Amino acid sequence: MKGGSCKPSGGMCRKRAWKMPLCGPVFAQLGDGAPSFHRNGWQEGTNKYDSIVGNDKIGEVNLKVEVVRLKNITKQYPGVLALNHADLEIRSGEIHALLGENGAGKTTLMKVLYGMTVPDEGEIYISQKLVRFSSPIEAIAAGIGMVHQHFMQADMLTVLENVIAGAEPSVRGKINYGQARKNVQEMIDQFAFDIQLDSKIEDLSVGERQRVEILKVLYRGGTILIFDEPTAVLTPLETEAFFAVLRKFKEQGKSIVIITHKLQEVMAIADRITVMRDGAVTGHCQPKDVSINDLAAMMVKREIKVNQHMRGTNVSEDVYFEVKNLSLTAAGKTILDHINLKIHKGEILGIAGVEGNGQTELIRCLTGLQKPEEMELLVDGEAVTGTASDFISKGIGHVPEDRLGTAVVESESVSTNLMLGYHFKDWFRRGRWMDYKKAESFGNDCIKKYSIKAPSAKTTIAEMSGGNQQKVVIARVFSENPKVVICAQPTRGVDIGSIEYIHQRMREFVGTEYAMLLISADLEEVKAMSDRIAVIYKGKIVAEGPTDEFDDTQLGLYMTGAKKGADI
Amino acid sequence: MKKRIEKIIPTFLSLGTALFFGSFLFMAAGYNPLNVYSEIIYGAAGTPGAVLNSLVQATPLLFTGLAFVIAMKGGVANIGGEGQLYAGALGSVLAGIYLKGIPGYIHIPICILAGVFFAGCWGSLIAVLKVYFGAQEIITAIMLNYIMQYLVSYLVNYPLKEKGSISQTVEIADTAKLPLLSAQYQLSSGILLAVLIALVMTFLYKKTLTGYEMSITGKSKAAAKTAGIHVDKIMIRTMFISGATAGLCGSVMILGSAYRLIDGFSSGYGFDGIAVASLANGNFMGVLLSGAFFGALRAGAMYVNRVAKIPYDFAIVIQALIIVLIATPYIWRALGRKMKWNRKGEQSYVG
Repeated sequence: MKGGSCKPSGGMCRKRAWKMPLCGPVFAQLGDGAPSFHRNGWQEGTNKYDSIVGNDKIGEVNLKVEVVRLKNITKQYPGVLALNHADLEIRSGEIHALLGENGAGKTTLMKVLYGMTVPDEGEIYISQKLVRFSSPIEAIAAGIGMVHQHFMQADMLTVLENVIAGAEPSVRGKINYGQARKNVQEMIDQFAFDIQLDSKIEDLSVGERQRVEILKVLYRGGTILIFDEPTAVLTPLETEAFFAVLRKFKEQGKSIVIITHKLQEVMAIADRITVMRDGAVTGHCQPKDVSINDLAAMMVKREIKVNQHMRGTNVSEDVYFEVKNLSLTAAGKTILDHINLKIHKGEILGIAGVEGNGQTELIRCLTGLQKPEEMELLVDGEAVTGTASDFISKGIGHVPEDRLGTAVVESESVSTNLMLGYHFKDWFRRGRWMDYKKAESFGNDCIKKYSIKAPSAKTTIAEMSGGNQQKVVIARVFSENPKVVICAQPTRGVDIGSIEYIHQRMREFVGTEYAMLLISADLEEVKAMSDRIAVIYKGKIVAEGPTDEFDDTQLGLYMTGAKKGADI
Repeated sequence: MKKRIEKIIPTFLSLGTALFFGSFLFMAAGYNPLNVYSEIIYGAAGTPGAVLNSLVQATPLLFTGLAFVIAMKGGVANIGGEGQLYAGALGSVLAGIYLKGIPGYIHIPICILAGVFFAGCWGSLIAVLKVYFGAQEIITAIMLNYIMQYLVSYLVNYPLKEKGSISQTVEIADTAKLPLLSAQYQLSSGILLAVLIALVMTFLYKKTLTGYEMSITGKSKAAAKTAGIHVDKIMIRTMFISGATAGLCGSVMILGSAYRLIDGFSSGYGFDGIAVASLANGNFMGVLLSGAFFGALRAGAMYVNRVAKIPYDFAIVIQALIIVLIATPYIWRALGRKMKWNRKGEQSYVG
């Protein structure tokens, strides 16, 4: 009975979504789509968006009532107890932060709530009613929306098409693009997202794609919104704007769950915090009662200092890595403008900058994946040219910024992934033939040496958490003793404990013998790890100097192009 | 061990479901499905002759099935098998007709190589177009299929035509004919080449560097590129091998049974190969089993046709059902999830 009105807020609609079952999986891929007319008393043809901005037809919403209750949730994977009788309670009109170390179970717990994972034990209550989700479609129908850390977008389609996919405003089967445009554009303007509706996803930067992902959730007007590491790719300015949006949602009585590892942000925006460790909940608290180091201690059961400065001791005078005159243009635009960089032995040079200012292209040129118009590259005095494979052979290690896309093959095992890029080396072979047994024992060694949480070297990367996956990547690169490592976004999507660990290994690796180029959107990370900083703006290095000589205001100004350093 | 069994379940589920639905078709046509199936089994494996016949029917399918799996594992979808097998047939038949006076043990390899090389080039053309022009391999494959089929058809009807009324070439030299494993049933030794290819490819993937690179390219081109693998070269190489294997289908048909190129000799073996591949679970040795199964199905259908006048088309229908139902395991899994969760007292969000 399409189009009839359902009972308002209290009851749940039991009608079959007309798009199930064939289209369901397809749309679940494209976006969290579910038709609007099955929720909260909206009529068919109404755009859900109306209830976020402007006319509120939400009805009576009691603030601070329990909206979600996860009770005793347990989930066992082969060799790993991912969730251990976890409890979580979320109220309406609150921003609830879910904190935890890498592998603590936060993402798994939210996947249970979102219907993507079925728990072995435990119950889920929505508005105090016991429910079972066997797929995200059902969770979405219950008002739960999730903004994923790894985006689910159709590259070939436009921003508008991706946002409305699965929830198009339509009249008698014909999509009303006019209205869709108006609504989505209003959202973009209101939150200053700075995206064009007609841009193709494949042309957008990572930061912009994130914003499209957030738009999708906003558009579907969920009442319980889960954000998985939402600010991982946002600039400080965008993060503030994002928080403003969250506050607006809060006022409207929506519930927000943020899975994050950024302690500063948690203190700034959260109403309540739940901390997890090893699959169990270790604490509930409020920002006003704890300090950042308290939270960190709850997460890892030991003393931990967040983003402590790790400077190189004994940086030599010798220039180990030198880039001269790196220039790249594409479609008439200058992407990289005569970049000159020098890194000394034992030094980490950090590139600070807002994402989208040429960092991706810089990385690609320095690792041989893209050929620039002009570049002179010297490693330990030797010129480096050729293909990506040549660059690797000449001692340039690469920790890629897009982990799942380019750094690992998800469906393959730890040992297979440890060979990537170095698969021709002797230690993976016996004579002329490949020796996967050797690779496996190498994998088991790496698991021990790099504290990777995986049952064995045969474990598939897809079964591992982001932080552990990243450990595999750095294990791969560092084990091969490259001379220079181009390290991009090394701790994106990685949690506190693993971040600390990876940072330590990075500094350990560089030691006094090698060099590293660190490119990260996380300014705190750049400041903590680098001996020197170079700021990139619109493809040009606008400032450079020892880290400790920059202060935050200055950096901010350089990064947004408001100030240019003298004779750079 | 559990993982292995888990991997094969989809195959058997699809098979079972296809046969199950097939039985309704038989019933609708007025036959008793249990009878029919048992007669098919007899016709496929009931006598030594039946088994040989099954292998004969399986021969072309093994090659095209392998060709598809080879391409798929290397990251390319090769639906150009039909054109490639004609290319192989053409190459082999030309070498078989126009090279004279050479002893068999030289002539046969030359004919095979001619077919393989020509088909390999034809196949790699698809990859070349993709690499240098960004052309989608599905479209170019279909177009190239037509081009080669019509080219061969033209050649067989005009310049190469044997005098007479049939559109076919003259017979190839005796020295070019592949030895028969069974004279009575016309089982060519060519089938051993399929086994050889499956073994070689398995070895390639397990033991060689190229195998590693092909495997990674097939699973994630982006990760492969970042790892310094020459993805373009790998794809072209993969398509050459795939095309060559499909070409062998044509070569073996010509050198091993027909001994001449007859216009339209392929009843769509190229596309049947995709069906064979779909049941093989992406595994080279699995293709051998799958091809044998489909061959058996056809042999059984032929027998049943001869003896009980049941149309041979049923075999094709069941083959089609298998392809359509290859998605069955996913349906089972989705249903399984639903069924586990529907208990009393809880609300279901999708009615």
